[in-house]
Amino acid sequence: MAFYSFSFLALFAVLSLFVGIMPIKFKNVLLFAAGILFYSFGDLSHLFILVLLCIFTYFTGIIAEKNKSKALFALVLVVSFSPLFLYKYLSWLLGLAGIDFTVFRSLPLGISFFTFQAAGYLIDVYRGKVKAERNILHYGLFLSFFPQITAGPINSAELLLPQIKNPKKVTFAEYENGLKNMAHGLFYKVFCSASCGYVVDLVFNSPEKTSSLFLAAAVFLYGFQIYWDFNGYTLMARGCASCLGIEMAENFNHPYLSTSITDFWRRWHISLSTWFRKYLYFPLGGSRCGAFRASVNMLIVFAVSGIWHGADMTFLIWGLINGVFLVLEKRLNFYDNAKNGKVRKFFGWLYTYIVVNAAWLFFRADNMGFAVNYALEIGKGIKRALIPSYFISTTPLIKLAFTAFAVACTIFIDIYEEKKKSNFAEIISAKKPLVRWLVYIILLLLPLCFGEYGSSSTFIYSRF
Amino acid sequence: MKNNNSAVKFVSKIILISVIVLVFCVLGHVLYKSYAKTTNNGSYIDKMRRLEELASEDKAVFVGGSATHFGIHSKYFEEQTGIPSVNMGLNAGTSFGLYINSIKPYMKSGDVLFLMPEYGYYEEGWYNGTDNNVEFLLYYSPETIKRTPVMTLVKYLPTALTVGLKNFGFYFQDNIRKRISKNKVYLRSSSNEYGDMVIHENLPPAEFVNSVYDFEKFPFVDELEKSIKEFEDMGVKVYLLFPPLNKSSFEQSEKCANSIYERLCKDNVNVLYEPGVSAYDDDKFFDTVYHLSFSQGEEFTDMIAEKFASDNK
Repeated sequence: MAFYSFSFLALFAVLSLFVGIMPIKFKNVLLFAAGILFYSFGDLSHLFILVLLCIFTYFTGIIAEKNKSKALFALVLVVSFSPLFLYKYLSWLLGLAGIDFTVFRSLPLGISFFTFQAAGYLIDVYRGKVKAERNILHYGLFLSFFPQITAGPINSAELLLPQIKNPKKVTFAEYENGLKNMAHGLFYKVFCSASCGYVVDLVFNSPEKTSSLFLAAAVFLYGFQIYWDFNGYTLMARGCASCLGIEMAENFNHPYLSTSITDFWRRWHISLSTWFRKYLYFPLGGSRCGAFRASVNMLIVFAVSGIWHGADMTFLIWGLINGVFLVLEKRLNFYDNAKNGKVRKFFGWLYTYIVVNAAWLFFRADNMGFAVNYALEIGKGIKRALIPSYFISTTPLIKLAFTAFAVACTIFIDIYEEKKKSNFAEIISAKKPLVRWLVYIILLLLPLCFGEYGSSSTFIYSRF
Repeated sequence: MKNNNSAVKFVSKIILISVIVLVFCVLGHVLYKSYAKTTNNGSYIDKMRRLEELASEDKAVFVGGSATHFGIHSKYFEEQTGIPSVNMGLNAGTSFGLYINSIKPYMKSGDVLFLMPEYGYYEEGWYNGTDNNVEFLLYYSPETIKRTPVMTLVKYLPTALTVGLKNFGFYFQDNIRKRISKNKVYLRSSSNEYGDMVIHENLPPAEFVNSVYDFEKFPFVDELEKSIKEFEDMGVKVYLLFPPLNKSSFEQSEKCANSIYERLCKDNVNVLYEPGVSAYDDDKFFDTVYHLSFSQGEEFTDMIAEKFASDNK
């Protein structure tokens, strides 16, 4: 059930009303029940995986708090990751070994996200950073809180558990803020991402008929599409949580304004990058173990990060491209240099923008063969008609115009937010009522009247 | 007190936004309603008018999706058999249930009803196709609302809201499209007075891709058979037809098509021919694997007329 579906919005309105009027002691029960209900709309057998993982990590968390045996804890982590491994990676690994066998046909919704959240909790408990949660309802809600379950953000126990343990009444300001974020997210997902996705799909479906310019532009546009899609989702998820009086982790901080790849990974999918830094990069030794080892550690993290997104070589290559550039930047001290001076900043931004977007090609491609072929077609396309014939039709042209408008809006919003060091909702709140209303009406009506919100439209990151 | 003020302010804002959204929804329906009548789906109004005119006569009625709209030449059928005919085929995006509900009041003993559900219908439920169904009920056949189950109508309510909003957008996009698009096939004026698609008679064919049907369950069949029984009880002779499909799609869908055929035969449905009979070469199609070219449509109709005649000797 997508956040922009009518059934979700109707159920959410009823739930937030109940959360608002019921005594505070019922809040967690209501939210937990809503989480289970939300997850049940998918495959019921997948709910079993979530419940099982929840029960297992709840009890092993209590054990890990007292028993500090490394071997036992390693075993606990292996078992916790096993559903993710079985569902997502086993078939792929068998395929690499030449065995064509599909273990499970479909992936449980959000399995990569809730597995990582549970593993993060266990590690924090083992390290003594947080106390093991004794109340199973609280822990269950921590894992199954519905705004985060589809595609994160991956919330830490430090952030989420205290809010669950000490539930508070939602203020009208929080409601309003949450709804504004939801409207912003709706605009990004349903209008911007959907229009852009239409254009990108057209090009990716016929690279052999397309000019170099359009082929290259489609890769860059895919960069926007995925940003709108995932940031749109995150805004809606955080907006929902805000309406329920819960604050969730940030996931984006204007990533396309980054002046280095290092900077980009501090601004893109922040909750996942943080997870990898805390629970993989530092335990591997981080950067305090010699230049060579630190570089290897970084490459390991990015290879795992790539594979986290999907069991395919394309994701691995995508992760490694980012990793290699990050290592180079580290060695050349590029991150600190790019921050100084306008000219350096500009070239830093340009290089980052090109590298990040070129790497998206592997993220978007169905397989390595397609990615390589697409890259070759960019060279071949120089001889083809500049505007592909399949574009000279009304719908593609309208979608292209919408995409151009969306790009302009996003650049304006991102630069404005970065300059003001504030978010869009806060900036708009400071404006005159007429401007405020106009902005939100447009933000709401553009996706509702011109967006795609049918069953065919899903979040890209919900596949992971 | 302060909290009460915030509550009133908050609720007022929500109500105001809801009203604005609702206004745009209504505006979308109002603007699109007149525009909808010029679209291909708008030809249903003409088809209904002809059906109404023939209400008291013994007639042949063809019902289905766009494969019927393109593939059946009811005018030709009328010339061949002498039975006044009407082509009610339109668009498989609208549920078969609604088409059946819309024609029911005009059917009587002595009529012949040819049902040609698209293959896709068999996989779906009787009332599937929410966006199209709402448009059908609101713009093209509002009388059908009376014969649609209340629970189905309730299910359509949220869709009516989103369709209104989407149509506000479509109204502007389609107006632009109408000004610059060269495609004049899918308009109300593309059909003749019998409801047959005729505009493509002299148009070159377009590129199309195969459609494969490989489902194993047919939830549609139970409702279909129930409906056939109702018509037969009224004294209407009902025939089931299989839609045209290009051969390469058919080869990949044959198992599914034959399973449907076997099930219908087992249940004693009056099927006029086997599914393979309406599988034709690619060059016999216009712009999809189930929209026959004009000339092949005539041949297809001829085949139906012949089989119908031999069945009624």
